[in-house]
Amino acid sequence: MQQSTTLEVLQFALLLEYLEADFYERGMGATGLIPTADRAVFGLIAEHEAIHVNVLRSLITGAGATPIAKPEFDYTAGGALAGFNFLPAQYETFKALAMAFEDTGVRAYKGQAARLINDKAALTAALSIHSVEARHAAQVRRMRGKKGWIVGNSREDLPAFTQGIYDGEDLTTQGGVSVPGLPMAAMFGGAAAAMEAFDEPLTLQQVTAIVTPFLA
Amino acid sequence: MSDRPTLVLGDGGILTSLRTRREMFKMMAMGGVAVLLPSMLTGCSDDNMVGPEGPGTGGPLTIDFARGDIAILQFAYALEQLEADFYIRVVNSFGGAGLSQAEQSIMVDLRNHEVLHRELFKAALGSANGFTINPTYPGVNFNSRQSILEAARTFEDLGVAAYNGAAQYISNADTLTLAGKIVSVEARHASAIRDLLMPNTTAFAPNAFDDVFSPGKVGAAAQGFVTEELILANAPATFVQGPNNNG
Repeated sequence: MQQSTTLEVLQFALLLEYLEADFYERGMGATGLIPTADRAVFGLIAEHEAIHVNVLRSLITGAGATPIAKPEFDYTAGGALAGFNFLPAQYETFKALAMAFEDTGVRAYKGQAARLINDKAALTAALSIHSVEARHAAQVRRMRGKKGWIVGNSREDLPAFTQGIYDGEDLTTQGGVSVPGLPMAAMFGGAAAAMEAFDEPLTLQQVTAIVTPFLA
Repeated sequence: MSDRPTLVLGDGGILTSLRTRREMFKMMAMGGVAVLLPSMLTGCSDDNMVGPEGPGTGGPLTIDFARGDIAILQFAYALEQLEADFYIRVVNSFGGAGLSQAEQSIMVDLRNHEVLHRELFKAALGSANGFTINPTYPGVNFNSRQSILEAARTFEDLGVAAYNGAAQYISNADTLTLAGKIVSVEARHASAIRDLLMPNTTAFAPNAFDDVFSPGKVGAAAQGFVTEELILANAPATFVQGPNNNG
């Protein structure tokens, strides 16, 4: 039972990591897309995502299953970003997609953590990736002039079709407690800070809906 | 009258030296007088006037892992108290630290996030299981941008590794998810702080996998900033290492 749950989670994570790894590999390989000053950052993220792919494949193989094959991706999201093809003038779109993918990754891993509660090895590995995705997300967001953390349920300047990545991030009740209602909360940012201070999980179904437009 | 010991304190900042404070109190108890120059009055408002001399010299504060998830919440509560106190001090030191407006804005956000984490754990634990730590910051200069950012990096990275390592001991699924909600925000903080120290480099994410630290390793690191002696009782015998295998 736990074994099949763990495998489902790992295969799901592998799909996301395939997407990210492929996206950054193409970005780094595209002539004139990423400015020299930013290549250290995106080169590192590309390297990390490739490592995540390899480790997830090993974990799946180690559990006696076959890793899913890498799918073909459509970075226009079914035409929502018509014309996007890693061209030199499309760096802003590239960074916008990076923010979307990283913020999705954080919420996706978070949503699966509790399903791994009885598989400590898989849980620990997943969490050690989860927080790295959060580091990536903050860096990319800040390079775009946004806060490193998600504000309310705002997609910032991303296109409307990405709203599902941010829906529910404006939750202010944690563990059955209203955070803005806590003593001192009003003096320390109130509801707005309460929304920033906690990232929210997404279910497998929610993440699938977000990722599906990027599957060719 | 003239043979009473006299200690002249010309700088309020000197009161942040606990040794000096302690000497002053001892001397006053002996009937001595302290000459208080006006500049030190703000120093006297320090709420930690009397306290242990350094990390681990007071207390003790025992977190008993036999209590299950409560112990994990207490462990997290101690770390969040430390982080919240740190950023409150940072924000209160803005005048002399040389942080840019943008950096100050980040520090205010971090302070707010950490205070709310702290307050949530406080509410969750209630008075029966709660406690207050008294942080101390040996070697941290709150009038130095570099020192503040380096300390912040230490706290945020430690927080990430602590949550990542404590998760395996959580038995309640909702508590595990709550820890996940917090740890990614700590990681976002760590990323931002690291980028302020070394902008646009690979500093924001030092590894493909974040560290996963055992409670014992976290406790030992945190002890350097907590005056109470931290005791982790019945600490779990087994620990599942993360991919970096350094917990």
